[in-house]
Amino acid sequence: MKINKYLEPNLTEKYIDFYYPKEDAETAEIVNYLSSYKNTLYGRNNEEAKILPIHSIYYFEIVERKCYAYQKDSVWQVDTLLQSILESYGNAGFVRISKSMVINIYKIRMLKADINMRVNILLDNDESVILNRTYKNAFFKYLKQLRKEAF
Amino acid sequence: MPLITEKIISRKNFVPIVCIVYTLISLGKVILEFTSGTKDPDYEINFITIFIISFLATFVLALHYYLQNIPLPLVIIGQYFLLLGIILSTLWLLGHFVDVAPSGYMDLTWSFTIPYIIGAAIYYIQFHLEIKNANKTLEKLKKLGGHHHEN
Repeated sequence: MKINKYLEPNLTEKYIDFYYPKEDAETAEIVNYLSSYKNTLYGRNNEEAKILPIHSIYYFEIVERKCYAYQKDSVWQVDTLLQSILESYGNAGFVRISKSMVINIYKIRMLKADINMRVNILLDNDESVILNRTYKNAFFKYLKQLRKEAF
Repeated sequence: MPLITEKIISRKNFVPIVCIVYTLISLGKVILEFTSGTKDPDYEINFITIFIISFLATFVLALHYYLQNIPLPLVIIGQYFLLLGIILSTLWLLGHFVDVAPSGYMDLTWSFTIPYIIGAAIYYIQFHLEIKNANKTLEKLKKLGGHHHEN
C-alpha cells in the first residue's frame, strides 16, 4: 500500500483520506487500525457499515471464527481478534468471560449465581451471558483492580 | 489491563503441587504426632500412602478445568466420590501388606469427608460473597462511568 503524507502548516485539523479499489478484509483491517486511534471500530453487517464507538459495545463474540460486536440492539461483524481487543481496550472495561467472549464491564447490570453455581451476567439490554468458570478468577481480579483504580 | 487466565494446576506445576501437598500433609502428621505424644507404628507405609493420595488428589482436582460444561455441584460431588474411591482403594491395596484396623475404612472416610465438606462450604460462601462484592463494585463503577453512553 502506498502512503503519501503532506505537511500543510495552515491546516486546523489532521485528516487521512484512504482510497481503496474494493471493500475487503484488508480494507476493513486498515480502517479498524486507524479507527482504534479514537477508540472506535469499523463494523459491518449485510446492509451497512458503521464506525462503532468502543463504549457502545456490550460484548464481542467469536462465532465460526468471525468476531461480532454486540450493541444494545444490533450486531456488527468486526475484523479483529479478542486478544487484540483485550490489548487495546483492556483499560476501557473489556474483560474476557469465556474462550469466545469479551464483555464490557460497564454494560453489566448485575451478576447472579444460578443453582449450578454458574455466574450469569445480566446486561443493561436485558441479555444474559454466562461467565465461564475458567475465567471467573480473572474476571473478579479485574473488577478488584478497577475498583482499586477508581476509588 | 488484560488478564491472562491461568490454571492453578497445570502440566508445568503439577509435580511441584504434588510435592507441596505431600510436604504439608506430612508436616501436619508429624506435628500432630509431636503435640499428641503418639508414635505411628506404620511410619513408612503411611508416608507412601500420603504421597499416593497427594498425587491422585492433585490429579483429580486438575480435572476440574476440563469439566466446565458440567454443573459445579455435580463436579464437587463427583470428585468427592472419585477421591474417596481412590483413597479407600489405596487403603484396600495397602491392606494386603499391612494390618488395617477394623474401623480403618470408616475413620479414613470421615477424615476425608469432614475437610472436604468444610472446603466445599468455604468455596460456596466465598462464591456468593464474591458475587455480592462484585455487584457493589459494578454499581459504584456505573455511578462513576459517566463516559459510557447508551447506543
